[in-house]
Amino acid sequence: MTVVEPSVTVAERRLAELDASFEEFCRENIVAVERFLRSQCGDRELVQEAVQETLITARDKWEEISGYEKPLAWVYKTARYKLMNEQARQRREATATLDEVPTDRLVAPPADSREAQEWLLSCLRRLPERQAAVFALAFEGWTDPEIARILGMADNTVRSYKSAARRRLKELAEEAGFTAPARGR
Amino acid sequence: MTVDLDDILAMAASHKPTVFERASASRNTRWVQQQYTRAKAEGRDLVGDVDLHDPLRGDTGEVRRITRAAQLAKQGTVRWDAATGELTWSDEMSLILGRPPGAVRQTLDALYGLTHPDDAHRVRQAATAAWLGRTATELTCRVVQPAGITRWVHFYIEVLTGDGGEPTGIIGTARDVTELELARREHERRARRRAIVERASGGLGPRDGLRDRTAFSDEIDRSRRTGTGVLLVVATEQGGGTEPQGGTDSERLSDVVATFIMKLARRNDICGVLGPGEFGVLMPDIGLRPATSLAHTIVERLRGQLFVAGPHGLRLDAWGGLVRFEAYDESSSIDLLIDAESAWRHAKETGALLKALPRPAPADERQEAWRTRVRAAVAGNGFTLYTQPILDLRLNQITRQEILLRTLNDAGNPVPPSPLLDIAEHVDETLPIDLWVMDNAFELIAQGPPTPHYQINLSGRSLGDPGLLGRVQDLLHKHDVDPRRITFEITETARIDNRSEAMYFARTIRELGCQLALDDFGAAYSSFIYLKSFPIDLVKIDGAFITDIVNSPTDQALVRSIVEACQAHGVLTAAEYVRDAATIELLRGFGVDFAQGYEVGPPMPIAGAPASSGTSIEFDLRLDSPA
Repeated sequence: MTVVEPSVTVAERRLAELDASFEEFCRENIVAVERFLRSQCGDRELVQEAVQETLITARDKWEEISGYEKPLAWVYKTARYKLMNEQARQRREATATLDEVPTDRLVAPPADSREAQEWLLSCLRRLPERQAAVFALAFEGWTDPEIARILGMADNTVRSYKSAARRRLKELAEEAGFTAPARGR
Repeated sequence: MTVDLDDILAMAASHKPTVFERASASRNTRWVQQQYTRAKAEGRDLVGDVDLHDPLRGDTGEVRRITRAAQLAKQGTVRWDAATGELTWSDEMSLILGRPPGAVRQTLDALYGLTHPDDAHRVRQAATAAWLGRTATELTCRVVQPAGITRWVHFYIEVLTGDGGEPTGIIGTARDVTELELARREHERRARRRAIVERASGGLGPRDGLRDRTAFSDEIDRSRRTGTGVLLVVATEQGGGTEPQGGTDSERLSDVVATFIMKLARRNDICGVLGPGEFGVLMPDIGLRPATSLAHTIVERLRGQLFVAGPHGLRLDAWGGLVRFEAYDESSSIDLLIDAESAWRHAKETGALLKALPRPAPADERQEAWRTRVRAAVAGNGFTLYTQPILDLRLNQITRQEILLRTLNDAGNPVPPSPLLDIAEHVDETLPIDLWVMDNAFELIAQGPPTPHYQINLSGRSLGDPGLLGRVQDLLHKHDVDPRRITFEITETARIDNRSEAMYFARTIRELGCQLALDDFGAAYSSFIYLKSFPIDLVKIDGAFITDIVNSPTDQALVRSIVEACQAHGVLTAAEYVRDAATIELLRGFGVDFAQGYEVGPPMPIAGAPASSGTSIEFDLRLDSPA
């Protein structure tokens, strides 16, 4: 009657391990995933919904996904599709919600790292969606091949969008009055 | 301290999760776990159509990656291979193009052929630029589906790279964005429209502010449709008999007096400036007795008030005339205005403060009273003539003069005739005035300097009078004026009521050598149909489109299109109310033929024109500066 006990314990331990590793992954990354989507969409509720749905699926398949080269890459990719589908559905239902894209402008330079992040996100949302996604990932330190794979685009496109996004951000910074003084850079 | 983009990026990159963010991450993680447990218990499918490949390790090249991404997003793909020159597209792309998969042979020319002709060049340019510049781009263009159905399609265009880093082709990812594009265009249109409408209404709410005569008339009509009320017209004159000489002071005085009256009126009453020294108060839902009492107060307080306008203090004489109306009365707003105006004149003539009419005057009585006034004005030479120069924009020379009518008021001073003309039109009595103008103008033209050409106003109402043609011929003959020196400006085309007679006059008068112009084109009742069906030679574009044209892209668009339409029909164009050199230059660029207004020259009295005979006729109702 003690024969089955060890195997049950192994399975239970494996489940508990998965649960703990997912929980840690989730806690570590959930803010970053949200931030990534927020670089492309100003609707926080929509973003949260897409992130949560993605993570629930990730939890379901965690045994498999946790073995990926970088599980976060899969989460980014999947969350972005969820968001895009949800946006498309909303547009079909009520095109009126497209109306107001708030153009947030800062009068004073950001005072801390959080404000700087928010400023960056608001600027990225004024860029073409793909350029914003490329820049947001590059900014987090993902390599060009990784970005191309996460976003499903050509390698050349990543390079091209990275510089286009930077040019546009510089323009937006200058519009807001943030210009580089002559420092011999 | 100056901050630039790099500083802000560095600052953002240095961000470490705050306590708040960490708490929120824990909370959301717990929530995900709970939702997962619940979904599991309910046996829900948590994967659905989600792609479970490892994006980093499972990658099998750009083409597969991009087509797979397109499939996940339900988008189509088109691929061009540089080595073979072949073009292929996906089944989803076929649907976007409105063709069943396999129905069209997939070639570059076929794809351009399915693109809207106006967009095909742009698509080709974008693809070429992406290929040559090795850069990614995007564009929105139209495709034409069977039966001419047009859809907007958005394309991402990317350059593919081979193993050796060399470009091997182009891939496009496409989705139908018609609804989005329509919503975007509608949004833009609404924003544009909103800006125009706001500018046009001048920020006036439905129940506040002062209205001009036209807007005030509209309010009377609206009020008449919905219930009873009383219309009060208050007339003021400056004490001491000095006449305001026009300009800012009298306008300012008018504003001051109007504001004064508005403060005395009830909150829901509507106030308007009807002319120089003449003000209207529309009182909805009020009996005759309380209205009379309120009117009394207004007139008395006006008389007792010392007004300051400009450097001078002055006192006003004032009279009131009021008329009560019922819902769906037969009388129109202009009828009621005429009645109230008759009432204050009656008060003035009899030395009273006020005259109140319990109901509108019978139509025939009203008509007879004003016909008598008009005839008296004509018989008593209650008019004089002015001229205003017209600039030929091609020659940059004054080649024409417009003859302008002025009525003479009590003091024998000339004032704009439009209130009298309005009423004359209304009581069908324009012909005697028009004939008076012609008789005197022809005489002056015959005696005066040899300006090549004169323009004379002729009411649309007179145009249908069978007697007009013979009278004009007689007058031309009497003064021995060359008909080729005369253009008749037809005003108030809405009142051409005898079309066949008017057409006969127009044809014959042109055979004599006279020309015809249409006044106030683009406003009120004038319409493009006259260009097509009426033998006119010239169109005078309404001043409302000209006064601010330099600053208004929309006015520019309207004037350009009027000029284009006129040129296509062989009709000359003139612009009125030209007030500065920049406007003249702009109009010249648009191809307008003539300009008139203060920048060219103000209206001036004609030497030798008939002066006041002293007959007491007052028609100083409206300040309507000629140009």
